[in-house]
Amino acid sequence: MKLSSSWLSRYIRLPKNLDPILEKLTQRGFEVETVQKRNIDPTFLRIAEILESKKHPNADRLSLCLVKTKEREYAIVCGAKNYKDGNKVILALPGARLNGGATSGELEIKESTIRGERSEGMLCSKVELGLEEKSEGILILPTQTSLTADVQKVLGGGDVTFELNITPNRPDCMSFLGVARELASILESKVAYPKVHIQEAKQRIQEKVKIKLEAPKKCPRYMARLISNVKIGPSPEWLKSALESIGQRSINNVVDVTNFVLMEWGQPLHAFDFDQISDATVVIRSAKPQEKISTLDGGEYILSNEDLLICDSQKPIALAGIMGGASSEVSEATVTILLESAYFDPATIRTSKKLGLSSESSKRFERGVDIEGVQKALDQATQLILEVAGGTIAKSFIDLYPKKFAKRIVSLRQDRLEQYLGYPLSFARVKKDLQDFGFKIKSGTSLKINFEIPSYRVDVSSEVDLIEEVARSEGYDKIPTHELSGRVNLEQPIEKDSLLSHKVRSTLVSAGLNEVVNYSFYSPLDLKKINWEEKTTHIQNPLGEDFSVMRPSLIPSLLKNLKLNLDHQRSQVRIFELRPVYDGQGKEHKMLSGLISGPRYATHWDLKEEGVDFYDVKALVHLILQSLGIKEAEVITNGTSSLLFQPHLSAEIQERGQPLCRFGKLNPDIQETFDLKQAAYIFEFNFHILEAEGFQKQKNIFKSLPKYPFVKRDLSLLIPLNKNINHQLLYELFFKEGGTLVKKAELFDVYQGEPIPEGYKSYAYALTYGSDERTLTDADVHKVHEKLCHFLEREWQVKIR
Amino acid sequence: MQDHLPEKLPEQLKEKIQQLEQEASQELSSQSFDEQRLEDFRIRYLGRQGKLTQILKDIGALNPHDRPALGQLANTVKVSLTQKVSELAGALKKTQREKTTQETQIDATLPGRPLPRGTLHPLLKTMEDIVALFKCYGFQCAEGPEIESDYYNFEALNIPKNHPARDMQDTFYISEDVVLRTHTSPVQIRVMEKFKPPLRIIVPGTVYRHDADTSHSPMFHQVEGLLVDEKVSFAHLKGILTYFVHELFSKDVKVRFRPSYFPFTEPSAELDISCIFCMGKGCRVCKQSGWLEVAGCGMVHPAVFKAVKYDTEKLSGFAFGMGVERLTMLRYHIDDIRLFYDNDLRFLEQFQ
Repeated sequence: MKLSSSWLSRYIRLPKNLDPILEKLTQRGFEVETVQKRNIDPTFLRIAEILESKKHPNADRLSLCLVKTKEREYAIVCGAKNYKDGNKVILALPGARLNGGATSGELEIKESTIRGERSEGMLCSKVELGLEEKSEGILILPTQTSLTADVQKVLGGGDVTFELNITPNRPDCMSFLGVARELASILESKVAYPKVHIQEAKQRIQEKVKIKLEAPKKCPRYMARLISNVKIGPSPEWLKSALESIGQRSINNVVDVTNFVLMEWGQPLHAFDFDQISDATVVIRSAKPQEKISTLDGGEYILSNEDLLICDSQKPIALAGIMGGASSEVSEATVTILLESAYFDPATIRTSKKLGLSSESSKRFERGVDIEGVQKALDQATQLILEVAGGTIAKSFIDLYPKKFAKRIVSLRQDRLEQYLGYPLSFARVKKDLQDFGFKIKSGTSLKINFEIPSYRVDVSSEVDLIEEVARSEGYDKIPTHELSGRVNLEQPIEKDSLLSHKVRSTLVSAGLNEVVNYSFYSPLDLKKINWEEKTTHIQNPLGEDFSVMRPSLIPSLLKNLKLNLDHQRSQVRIFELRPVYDGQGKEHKMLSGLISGPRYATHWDLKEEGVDFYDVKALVHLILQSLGIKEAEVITNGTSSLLFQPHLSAEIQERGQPLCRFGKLNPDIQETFDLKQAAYIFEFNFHILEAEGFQKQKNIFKSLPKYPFVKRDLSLLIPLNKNINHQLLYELFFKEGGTLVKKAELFDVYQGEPIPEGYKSYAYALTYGSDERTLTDADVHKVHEKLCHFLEREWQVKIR
Repeated sequence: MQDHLPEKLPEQLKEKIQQLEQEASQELSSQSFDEQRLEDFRIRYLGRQGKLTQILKDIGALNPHDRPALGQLANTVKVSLTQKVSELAGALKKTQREKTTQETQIDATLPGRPLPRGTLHPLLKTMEDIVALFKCYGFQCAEGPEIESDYYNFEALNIPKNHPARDMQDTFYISEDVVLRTHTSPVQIRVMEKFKPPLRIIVPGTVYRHDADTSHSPMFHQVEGLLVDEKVSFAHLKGILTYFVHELFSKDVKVRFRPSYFPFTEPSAELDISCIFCMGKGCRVCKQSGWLEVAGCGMVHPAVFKAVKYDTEKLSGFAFGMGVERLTMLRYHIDDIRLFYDNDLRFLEQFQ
């Protein structure tokens, strides 16, 4: 809500310096968002009259003006066209510093010669004077402005405009009078409400207009007055400048009055051209399904039964509370005005919002206007129309108000108040606070008071609302600061293992990965690129098609992150993300995905520059499992069914039949579609499996240290390639066949090619033997070692080197 | 054989010892030793077959009354010799070490071998830090779904359909009754439905609003807190949030609570902190006000307790919610919210 101090001072005496009360407004819950002070330096500005103007002899677009100030005459070259001889304007003399607009900054006026003609200053526009951000032509002052008048005053200098952020619960403060009421309690003064004396004619409105209220639920109150013989024309200066002071454009005298009163009382009004209303009949009813209305902003809307219409005997003439219809709009030809002031049901107006229409009126109706204030605003506007547009007011008014407003009584208990705010408050003081806000004491004891709530305070309906009012009035800074005490109940199993994700994330960080955070939605195209075929969840009203799918996989996001960083000439990229993914049913599961690409090590003088490969990503997977205390004897199958990976360069780990993790090299086809110039290795953990209740994690239990020395034996194997023997099989075999004496098996060499015979690969292991009971003899070790060798030779056709 | 000359032997041995001592001393001072020659010397005199060892054996064969005096003498010589040898050996080693040390020369300014070190995302780091601060006060961490029903996101929080407060949070819809949660507050309801007071929860989470510019992101993060108990007051709320601000920023930062409006709290407040850029003097970041808005909070509205069937007379509570992006931007002086989601490593790697 935009306000100006000049307008506000119609209702309340404001101090010269507004800053302290603006600060107070913020502390009362009305956040001051912007403050604009019109500071005009009048030293080099003069009010001038254009005596004569003619075309510039050397420039088509320029004119030569002779102007007169209180001091003398000046010759000015001017580019504007919107003036006539005799107009009063503002002349800036050399030395004036004006606003050159957004692009040129400050503009200093100098005497100059423009295309051969001397110019002794400049005729100013509103922009140049800093009055507005946009304007056309120069500022034309009212003709009666005296050349000796105070420039500062003429230009409305000294006025402060400010914007308040009015929270949705306070529609009463979407008005000058509402804000004035708040200020009155801050300044401990009184609001001067406008006085209304309506001079009515003899003929009663009821004889001329028929109004039928067919939808009393959607329109609990409807009032109207009739004014005939008005003369539509420009508004008087006071009205224009009031509206302009809050950035509103003047339209015509009647419309300006309705806007003025809307801002003054917060009560929206609508003026109909009465002669355009068929049969002088107004009907307030629900719209019929598919019924259409053309509004005065030029739009056409198709309505539903939920919408409320103001109609004449034949057609809709307004979309109730939101916007008038085009057919009954007030125009220059309008002679008779039917002025509407009503209370529309907030929910009804909000429902209509889905048409995409919002107006100053609808903003107030949907929050709730003062149902008891409907008449005051109507009378005020009627009176003002008479003043600015002439005419006669029909006697009386129409007031359809079937169910009168029931006064709300809310009680406040002292103990509850003090318990809520945490400090003792004098009840006498509390009473005064609330009375200052307009709450009336109906009855009460020393422990409890019943307050009558003014009709405009639609937000107050229960005790806690009054507690807030007391806190607001006293100031939130009066509330003390208490340390938390009381009971803690940690026995309820609210918290999941929140350390789990922290553990994994810090493990990855210590392995050199950077954590990323991507939007949870992306483009359907991203899914196409990874050949995603399962169902997904979509946003109905996305920011754009590119942000419409709730991502079922984190991988496209990571690939885009990789692309961005490669584009920044970065070659080593190691990233991960732990966030939910969403399936087609809108269910979410946590997923941990990561990606490594580029050199294994940062550039270093003593390290070979090598690219990462499968075994780097595998190490990460292993590290994660280790950090979570998951046994490493998991099933690793070569290759996964996922198309994300390059076949034969990927693997999957399963946990009780569910895929726990997939990792490997990104499928080169996908690398291509994401336009990535280097290979990437990725991993994906179904993190929710790890988080699931009952998931078995190995506990850290201490094992006593070995007491007897170990013996190491190397075992070099030549493994026939056609036997499908892999490391994991061998590893498991050592322990199975070797028994408890085998303590460790470390693979220290893998080789294939010369001098290894064709059809074989060579794996070399260092086996560690030991016993928990005694020192092993050579013979003991020999026995087990030989047994292993024999088994390998006999059963698996492995040659021992 | 020595037994044949018992009366002469002590004198002879004494002489022999003195002679040996002199000889050895001379050898030690006249020769320049290296490690090998020193070892030879040691073996010659002190070794198992060494000269002094031999004499000691002879002493063992003397009459018992002659043994102590001579034994003492021989021993003194042995100790002194042993000491001299070990001193010399030490000196030799030291010289050797000094030589090698001087020969070893490196460029100490060369970079060391890199150890891996990544970074947590600054948003999630801040979020964790916030949660940790509240855990100290017995708050338990709770989570909830991001795709949420209209009921939990709005209705149960005293925001019925057609309530103007719905405008405060532009919503992404999945279907008519399913939304991307616009705040973490639905978790309040979910937890209160399942658990009994007293309750202290802290809820980190991702939330969504239909909004995007330099200071708004369609996806952002919040941390929500809720405490329900008997006799909880606004003063407690002020206490815990003041503690929070002081811990996350510093004790010099001032806090201010000012009235605001949320349908699910009453009284409601915004928590402002004095601008950490200009120390409250007024600057571009705080729009000259000297204050920065960092959290919304208030006493739980009785309508919310009603929705979860809590006793509105007996219980009271407070709730608060803060924007993690905003706090992180303040913490690290980041000026554009979009940097968080670009995942440019040049940005991320700054938060070691």
